[in-house]
Amino acid sequence: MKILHHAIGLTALATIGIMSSLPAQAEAIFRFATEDASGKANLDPLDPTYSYWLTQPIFNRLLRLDADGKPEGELSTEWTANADSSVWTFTLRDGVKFHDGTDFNSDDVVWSFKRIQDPETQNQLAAPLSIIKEVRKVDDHTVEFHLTSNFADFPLLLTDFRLKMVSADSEGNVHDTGNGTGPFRIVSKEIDGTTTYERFAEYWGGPAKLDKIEIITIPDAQARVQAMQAGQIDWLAGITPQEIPLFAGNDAFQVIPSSSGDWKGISFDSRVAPFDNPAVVKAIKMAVDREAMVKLVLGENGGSVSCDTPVAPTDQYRAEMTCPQDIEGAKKVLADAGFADGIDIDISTSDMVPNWVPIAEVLQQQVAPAGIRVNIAMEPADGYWSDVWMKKSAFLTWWSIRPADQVLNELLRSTAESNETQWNNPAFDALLDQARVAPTFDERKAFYTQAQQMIHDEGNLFIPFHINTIRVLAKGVDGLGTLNDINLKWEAISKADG
Amino acid sequence: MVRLLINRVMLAAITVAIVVTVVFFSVEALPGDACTAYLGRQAQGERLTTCQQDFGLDRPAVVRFGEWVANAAQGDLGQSMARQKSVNELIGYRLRNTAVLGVAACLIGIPLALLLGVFAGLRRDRWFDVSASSVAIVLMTLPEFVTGTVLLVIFAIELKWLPGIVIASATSPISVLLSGIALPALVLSSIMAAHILRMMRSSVIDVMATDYIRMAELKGVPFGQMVRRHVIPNALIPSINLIALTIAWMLGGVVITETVFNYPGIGRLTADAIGDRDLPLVQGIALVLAAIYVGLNLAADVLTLAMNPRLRTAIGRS
Repeated sequence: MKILHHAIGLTALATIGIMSSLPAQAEAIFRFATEDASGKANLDPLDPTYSYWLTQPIFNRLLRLDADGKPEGELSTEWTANADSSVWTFTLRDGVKFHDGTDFNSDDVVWSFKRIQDPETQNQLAAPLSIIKEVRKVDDHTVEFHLTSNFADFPLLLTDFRLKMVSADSEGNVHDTGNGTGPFRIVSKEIDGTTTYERFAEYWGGPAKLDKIEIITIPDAQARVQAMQAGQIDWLAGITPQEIPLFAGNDAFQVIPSSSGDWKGISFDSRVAPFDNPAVVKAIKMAVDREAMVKLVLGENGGSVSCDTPVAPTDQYRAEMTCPQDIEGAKKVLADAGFADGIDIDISTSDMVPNWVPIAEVLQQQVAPAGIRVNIAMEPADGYWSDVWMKKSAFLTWWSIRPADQVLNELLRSTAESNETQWNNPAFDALLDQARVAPTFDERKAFYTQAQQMIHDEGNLFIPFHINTIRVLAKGVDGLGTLNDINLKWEAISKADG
Repeated sequence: MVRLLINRVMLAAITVAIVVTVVFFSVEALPGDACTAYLGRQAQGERLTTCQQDFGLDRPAVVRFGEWVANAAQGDLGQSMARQKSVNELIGYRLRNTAVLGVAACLIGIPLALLLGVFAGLRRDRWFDVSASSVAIVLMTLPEFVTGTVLLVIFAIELKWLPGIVIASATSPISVLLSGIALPALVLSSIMAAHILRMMRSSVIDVMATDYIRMAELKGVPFGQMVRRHVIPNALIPSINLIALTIAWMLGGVVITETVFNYPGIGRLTADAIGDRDLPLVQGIALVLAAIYVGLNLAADVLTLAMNPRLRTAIGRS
């Protein structure tokens, strides 16, 4: 152990030496910071308490999303469905090796899915993946997915960022070893310090461009910004629009805004008065000026308007809708519903998540002219998820990006565990079912569009915007692409000298 | 003297006991519990129940507190929730790192402050005194995150003389920590020094006005010798207490300074533990920090007594 400490010490010393003196015969080391200080050392991507960032460079999925939002082969090369798309056959890539030198094959796929669906692991993915009845090994490089119902977009489901393939032999120790098939393998893990990765020479996609990756834990947001400014890291994953001037116009940095697909909004419980009357939420939605809300809450370039659809702006199934402010219309809807004198409502928010309080405050001001009097209830961050979220009648929420089918099913289907608005709309559920089995893309798109329109018109979910991530990269760093972080191709990232 | 010492130690122990009791039950009073905090959005249904059983949260608070006290008395501070390590292990290395930072800050700050304070006191109301005192006042009023950020921007970002924040894990050897310690140590010492400088200055002024110094002057004792032999030793007495208090106070300052500079010490651990509601860890840190704080105060009292025979005998007689 002592020797290890000294070795790490020497590396760190050498690193600092390089930074301050000569930019020695350059090894391309890509450094970035994560805020996760909780010391979650868990490298098992199928464990709900795993460390998200630390596992990113070391694992692969069967499929990932390409720049058009379509599935692209990662550990599988071909996928076909039977006539009614209830059985899917995946051909696995040849010559894929795990970091420990063993081969990747059908057994690993079968085992990975079995683990997700094992009630013991209590994996959140179990619900969306419950459509999988059985994963069957056909031969070493072919697996069949037998589904409980027909699903034409099943491959999209497999692009979920949590669906990493783990070795069947690594039972019980993958959380320590991080034994994956990805382009980098872990060299040393220091959860509250620097975790180091090196290029995996036998990576199926060819060796990565970088020699090393270092993920550094810096819990404080301000300290991360300063590390970037001082040139100690090469990538700052997300800055606020207010921080752009610190980097823009400086040759040492590249500032790149892109859609994250994440959103924040308000869920209104449709079982509880007055939100059991759909007119109330509809009036709120009409009275809001979303353009202004984006500017006030997120700032210029901070995000893009959503008309209550949780489907990401980059998703191929995103519905095109417009939802301008309409105070008079909102008044009329309220009056028709029997609230001619306006209405009083409570909204629970918390400063636990950035933007939550401003969203409530801006909404409060914007809907006031329509006769909607909002009382903002500030809830403590402690216990928010257990005592407020899905407990109060109207509460702030946020979700990270998910494929259209998944987010619609996880968030709005009447039977979903996270049905935040307690919406029970058989017509909506039917649309999702129809979309799943429709054979062509255009038909599916039509169903999903209708479903999103229905959320906007009748649903109790209010989503004003999707959020942009603003990336800051050091000069010379390239290859991160335009996709969000969960679809990064780590092997393609490069860093030029200097 | 011995009885006095025993009394003081008892008082200190009672203070620590009160602190940990208050911390434990205020944490209890917060909405949710350690499991809802740790699991966040996933704190639902079976996952939550399992977690609460694993950490024994399904039992009454008083029982858990009793157990915690019993274990803590044997030196076992329990298990961190999020970090899957024992609290002792987590605190151990970081306490070392903070000690390194604190010693560095003291080594820079205390001699500098004493020296400047003596000069300022001897040259009362001259330009040196005025400028040193005003700088000290400014430094005293600026919070650590301002001083820290300003120093970072100047020395790491603009001039690029020093590395910016500290990139090292808690278990790194001290040599690694030292390479990035300059700026955080400077921040801590600047604020600490300001307090001590002001105290030393007024203390020197007081001593200079005493009869025995006048006597020494009239006797023709050379100025330098007089300052060394008579002024400094007497002026130091009130400062010693303050130095100990300042070091104790620095424990609060390290939380902010370590966070700003990402220094892997007990201060950043405190902020992180509170940030992800790692309650067993918060509890353990509270105990350790309270013990240090109280311990330093105790040391200050004892030192003052030891340095001042008048005080010692006066108490001895009564």
